[in-house]
Amino acid sequence: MIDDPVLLNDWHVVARASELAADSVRPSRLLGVDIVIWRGGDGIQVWDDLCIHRGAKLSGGRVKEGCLTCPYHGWTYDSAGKCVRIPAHPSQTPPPRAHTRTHPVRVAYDLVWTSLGTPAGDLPPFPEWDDPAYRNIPCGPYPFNALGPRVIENFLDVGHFPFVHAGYLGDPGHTEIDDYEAEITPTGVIARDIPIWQPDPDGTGQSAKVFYTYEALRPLTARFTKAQGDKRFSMIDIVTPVDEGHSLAWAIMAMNYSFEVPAEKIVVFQDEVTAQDLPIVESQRPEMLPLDLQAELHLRSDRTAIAYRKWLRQLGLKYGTS
Amino acid sequence: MKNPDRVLVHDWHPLAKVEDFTGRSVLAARLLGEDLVLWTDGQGTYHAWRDLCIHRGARLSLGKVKDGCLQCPYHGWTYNGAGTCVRIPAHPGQKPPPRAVVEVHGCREAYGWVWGCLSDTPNELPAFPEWGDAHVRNFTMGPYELNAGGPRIIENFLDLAHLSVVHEGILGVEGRGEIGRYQVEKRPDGVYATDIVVWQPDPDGSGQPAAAHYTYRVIRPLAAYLTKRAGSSVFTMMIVATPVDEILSRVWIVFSMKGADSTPSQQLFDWTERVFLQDKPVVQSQRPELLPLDLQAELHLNCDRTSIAYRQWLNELGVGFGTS
Repeated sequence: MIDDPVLLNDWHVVARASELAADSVRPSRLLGVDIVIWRGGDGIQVWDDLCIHRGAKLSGGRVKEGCLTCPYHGWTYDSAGKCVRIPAHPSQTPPPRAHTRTHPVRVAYDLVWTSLGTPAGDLPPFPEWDDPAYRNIPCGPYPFNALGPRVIENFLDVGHFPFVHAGYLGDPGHTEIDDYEAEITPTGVIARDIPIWQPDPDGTGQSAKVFYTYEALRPLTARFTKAQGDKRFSMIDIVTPVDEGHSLAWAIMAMNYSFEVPAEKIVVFQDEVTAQDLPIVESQRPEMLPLDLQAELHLRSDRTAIAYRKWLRQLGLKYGTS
Repeated sequence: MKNPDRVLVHDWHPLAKVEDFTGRSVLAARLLGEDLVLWTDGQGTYHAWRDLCIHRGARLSLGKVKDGCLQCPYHGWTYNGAGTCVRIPAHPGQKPPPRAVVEVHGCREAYGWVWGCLSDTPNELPAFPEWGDAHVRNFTMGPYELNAGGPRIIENFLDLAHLSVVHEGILGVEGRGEIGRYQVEKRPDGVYATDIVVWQPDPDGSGQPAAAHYTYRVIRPLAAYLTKRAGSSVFTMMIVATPVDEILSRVWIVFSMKGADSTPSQQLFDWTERVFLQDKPVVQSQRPELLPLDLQAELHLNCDRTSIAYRQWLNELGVGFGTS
């Protein structure tokens, strides 16, 4: 388990709820811990992926009558994680220690959230999800061989659009970034109204000058809204810290316009944009984001990144930072 | 990684072939555990830099060359041939800060290869005097990637007793593996082994058996040269092992043949490559991977005097990368 109190006591996404069929079981990994995610009659459960008897992975087992059965000796755990049946000794009450390590589960935005510790805060807000003026389009998860802070900082970065996303989010003839302000708030970081000229801001193919407002909501969760007149395009990016070398980025886009454009087209656009970012972010050295602002170089256009690094330092984030 | 080896940082190491730049201007390489970007301005100048843009740590080797400058793939920071950032597209009116420079290394071309050196005070490039001699046929081979440290590779090149075993039927005969007396001298500028005579079934790829007369010279810790006379032919060869990481190397070979005119060049090349590829699995299998410089480790016999001198010389120089 990765020793980072900030992330251990935070919520992380481990699955998309609608993709977990009844009586299904799947393995996953969070902060270096193997976990099992399963759905029975009592809903979705997230546990350590380990049967205490002989250490087998429960994710290789099956759901039967609302219980998860270990694939090795058939030890059967109820939805509270308590072993209720040991087939080799059917008449014996399973010992009290025959219990899995369970984790809290919340479902929001069709995402399954869990925590390996005791989360102090609530889930990051994404009010567009319940706003009927918006169409929500999930995308990802995108695997990165990179750590969350580098992935989030790239999500917050505006200067790379003309180079990494030429023809999509930026244009090599419009590289200059106007001044903007970024500030640390009690809940995170916010940078408002950054004007950017984009050839295709949302996958609909219409060029526009848009105004970005970025927010870091949690150490590994950020969002933006880009505005052009009354049109709003929002996106939340939630990075799951899989382990010391891997991340998984879950995203939801929300748009209050262009309802006629098929969602699949918008997703393909976002997949392409992410594929453009991927090799760059995976190439960044050091892999750990330097929180000392004397390391690397910071310009006016990097104000969001500067505020984000300062905020991570205030929070005391250890994972993925140096 | 800074100064991974106080000796090898001053040496030149081949990093790419000139022909690797056909149709492309930027390559990634790795030397002594450091990631490098190699690029050319298309005017015959090559550059070897640390593969890192100081702004956000992206790899410059994913970037492109424009107007004689290298442009970072992430935010388009543009570095001139001296490694100085001359343009930051997000702030075109602002002069780039003085810290916006790339760590620049030495870079030059020789024998059709692009060489790099991590130090400002480089040693001389290992010489292959036959290059450019109109009376010999010159060849280059490689690079061959070996999961082995450079010192193990060079020591194998200097080794005599394996010829009749690993290269049986070519450079030696089973049952005639005895190594006679020869001279070894350790000088400040390297190790010399002379007066070596080995009877070989096919010393030069022509298929004609002959007594081969060898002389060896270790030029640098990871570069060695041999001359072999057999009958009327003279074969010379230089091997250079580029230390990618401590136990990962890329081996570069240049060789020449004087005489043996009836042997077609392709046959000669194939013969040399075949011999080298026979060595590869054996060298990759050696443990420890790091060459022990303490002569009490492993066992040394009379025939191993070149190896002994090589290990002593490495120890005197203070080579730490690839040794133990």
